[in-house]
Amino acid sequence: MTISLQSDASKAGSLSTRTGVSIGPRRKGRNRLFSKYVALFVLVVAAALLPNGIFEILFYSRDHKAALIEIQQAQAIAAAAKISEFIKEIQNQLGWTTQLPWSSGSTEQHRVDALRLLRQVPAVAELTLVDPTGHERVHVSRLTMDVVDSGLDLSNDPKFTEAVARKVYYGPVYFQRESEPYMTLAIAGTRKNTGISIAEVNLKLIWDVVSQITVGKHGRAYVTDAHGRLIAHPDISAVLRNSDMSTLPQVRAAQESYSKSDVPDKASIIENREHLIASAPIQPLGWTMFVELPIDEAYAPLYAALWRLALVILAASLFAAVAGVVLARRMVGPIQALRAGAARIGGGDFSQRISIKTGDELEGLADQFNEMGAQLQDSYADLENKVALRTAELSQSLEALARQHQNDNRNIAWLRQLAAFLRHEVRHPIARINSSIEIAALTSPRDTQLKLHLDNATLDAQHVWNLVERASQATDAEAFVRQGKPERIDLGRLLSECLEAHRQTSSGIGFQLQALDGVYVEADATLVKEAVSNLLGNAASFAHPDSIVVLSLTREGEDARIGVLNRGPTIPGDTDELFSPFRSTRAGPASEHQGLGLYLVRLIAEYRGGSAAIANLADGSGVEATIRLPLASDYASSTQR
Amino acid sequence: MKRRDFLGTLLGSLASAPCLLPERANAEPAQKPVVIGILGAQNEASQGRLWKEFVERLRAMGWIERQNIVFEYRWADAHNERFGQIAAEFVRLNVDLIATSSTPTVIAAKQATSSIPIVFANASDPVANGLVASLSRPGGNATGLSTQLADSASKRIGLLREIAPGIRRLAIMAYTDDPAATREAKEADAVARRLGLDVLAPVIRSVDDIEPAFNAVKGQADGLYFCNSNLFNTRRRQIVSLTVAAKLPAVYDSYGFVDLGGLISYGPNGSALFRRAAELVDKILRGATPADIPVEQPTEFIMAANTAAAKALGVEIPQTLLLQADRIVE
Repeated sequence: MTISLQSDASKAGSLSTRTGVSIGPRRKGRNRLFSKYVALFVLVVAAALLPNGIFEILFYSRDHKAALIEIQQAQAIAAAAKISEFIKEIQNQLGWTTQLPWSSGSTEQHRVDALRLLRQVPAVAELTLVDPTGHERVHVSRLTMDVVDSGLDLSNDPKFTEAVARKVYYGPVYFQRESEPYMTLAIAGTRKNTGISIAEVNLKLIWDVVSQITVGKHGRAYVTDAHGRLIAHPDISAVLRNSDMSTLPQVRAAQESYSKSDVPDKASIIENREHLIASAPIQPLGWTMFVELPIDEAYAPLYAALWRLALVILAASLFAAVAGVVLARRMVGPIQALRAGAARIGGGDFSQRISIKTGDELEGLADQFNEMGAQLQDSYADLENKVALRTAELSQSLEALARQHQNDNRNIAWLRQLAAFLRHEVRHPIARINSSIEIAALTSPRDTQLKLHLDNATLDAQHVWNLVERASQATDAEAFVRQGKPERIDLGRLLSECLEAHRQTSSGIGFQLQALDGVYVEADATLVKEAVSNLLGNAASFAHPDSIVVLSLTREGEDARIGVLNRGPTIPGDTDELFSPFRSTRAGPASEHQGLGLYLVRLIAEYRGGSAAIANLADGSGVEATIRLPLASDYASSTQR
Repeated sequence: MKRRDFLGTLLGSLASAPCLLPERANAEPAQKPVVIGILGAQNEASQGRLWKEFVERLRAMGWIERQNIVFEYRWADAHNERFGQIAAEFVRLNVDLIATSSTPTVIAAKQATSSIPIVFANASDPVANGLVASLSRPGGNATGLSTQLADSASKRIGLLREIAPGIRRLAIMAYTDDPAATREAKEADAVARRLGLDVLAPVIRSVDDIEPAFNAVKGQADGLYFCNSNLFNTRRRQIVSLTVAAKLPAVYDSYGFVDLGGLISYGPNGSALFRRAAELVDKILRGATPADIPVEQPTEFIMAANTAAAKALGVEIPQTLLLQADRIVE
């Protein structure tokens, strides 16, 4: 798979107007797709792993906990059994002392038996042998001297009565000198006449048993009696301190469970912040064996497993991230290339070609982009050609126009010269003619016929002068108009200004303005005013008295239309002729200016590409003169009415 | 519950280190070695072996001499006045612990210091003699092992009477300046009187009084009972020879006498006591306070008998007694 961007050198050069700027504008979207893909990838992997991991943790921890509890409970039961064993062993040994029936001579033998027991069972501190009647016969001890046949009557003592009734009596635990734990153990022989043996058992020697019970690495086992007093512990000092454990939750829980359950062998288990404690009853003594395991050790394998799991998930996530980066790059790369290429094309560089060879939809898309680029290139080349053509044509026309304009100027200049020449030259002859006529009139003052002819001649001479003058003025007018400096003017306002001026000068005639707003043209304001004034003046002159002259301003297509309407006599014949510079006016020879007035109006209008016209009203009540001027360019294109 | 378990295990696993740190090994190397002042109440000959066992037991628990522990031996040779002197010296040396044996030394040590821990390997009746407040909670700066010698006086007298049932007048030999010995003597006196025996109690104030005491009772008593004291333990040979010379059956409290020719002895296992004392020292060095370490009573008693001595006296040790004996010298 290859991805690349290259300029297609075979095609025409690019029309790059903004290439330098185009690549950069959308920084916001950059690399978003990439990071999205990476994130998505990692998320997917994590989402796959995490539930799995969590399930594992859940189930493993549950199983582990269950297994742990089982083990601990089994340990507690086993440990409890050990203690029971210990006591039972003492019992068995004691049994040897109740073999012999009591007869008169057997006391010494009994004493020997008792002494032997003391030797064999270090746990027994004192031993009393009682005959079937309940009298103490032999008492041996580690501290006191042997007493034989003391006669002490124990027949009402529970040690005796219980032992006789149940074959064995387990006394409560008592603390000698409030320090050393002891218990009384009394057993009866198998036969009625063997009496009972009462032993005081030093429970310190359970210590050996208890301290050897291994509970994990840091766990320990200890024993409490029925009241919650500690009677065996790996640290003997704790026992000798006569610790009352009955307030500890595990002790209380154990006692509760025993009082409740019918099955005294069941082990219970409780957990506090630091230890997992299993307990089992030591029957029939009513003691409780506790087996304690530190939570840390208990859950160490679990924690180890969790750590492993966490590491695995972490490693997998890292791997996913790396893989994600790699894969996303492969995915996003072509897209990036496409984006860059499209940006370039969008920027105007149509020669860019995107080369993606991934063999998938992205490649297809790249090809389409390239096609589009090629097409654009073609059409631009086309456009360029057309534009060049048009430009050539336009410049030709412009040249022609310019030449024309030059010609016109030359013509007008020539005409002006001619007019000026004529004016200048004709003046003298006309003056001489006038003076000749005057002199002639003076010579024959009484010849009325002559005076008539002389008057006619004066008039005609004046007429010639007027014609020359008018021709001169006409050429002046052309030049005048060409001097105009066009600007963008608000016709409405201009018209109202004209109207104001005329209101002040013309009396007896009403003026009305009907103008649209916002009509703009490109023209010389002075010239337009002049034109409008002329029309207004004309209208005023020919309007019926007490009628109203209407000045209107509308839009017609691309033009502004100025209308000057007056009620009055209509114009006969060709109204267009009125605009000719060399036409006599309707009024009379005195009003030369008016004759040129309309010509000026037409000049002014046509110079700006407009037109001027006069038409009779359809109903024959009057006349309307119109000026059309092209609307100012941006106005014309943006509005349509 | 399940959720709490889960959260608990999760949090717990986070809280706990991945590897369980092994509990500190037995040996805890201190910055500088701890100094144990051994206040030897007797002399090396009579007690050396027992203190060796003490040191050996400490070594087994990680206290290596010259590495992390140093022992300062001072032998008082049973001279009472020296107990206080040595104790004072230990206080000056600012030892970390005073190890000693017998009641009078502990009394002297307690007078010298109430802050330095004191461990006694044996003391006859610590509560009665004021060494500790109670067995289960000593309360002060001293703790150790009781020997219950006063309690076992009855047993010793019983044994003596078993060998020599005809005894009518019992001489109770006690070092009068030892409060534990006098207490034991009082108990023995009471037991003897209950049995209907006459009691002789010569005053022995010093080593010079020993022989005169024997002379005093020689013709009068037909049995000897020796109370435990440092003085007697340093003069075993002398005492045994005097007893043999006086041809009197005697009962002692330790088999050291029987080995040298004494007739019969019954008392706690001294080695066991000194070893256990070492264990108490170890506890204290690791941070326990003596006030919280209960005083332990002996579980093991050793009965020793010397058949040769019996023969020389013309008495026979009964079979039942021999059955009980842990140690028989022939």
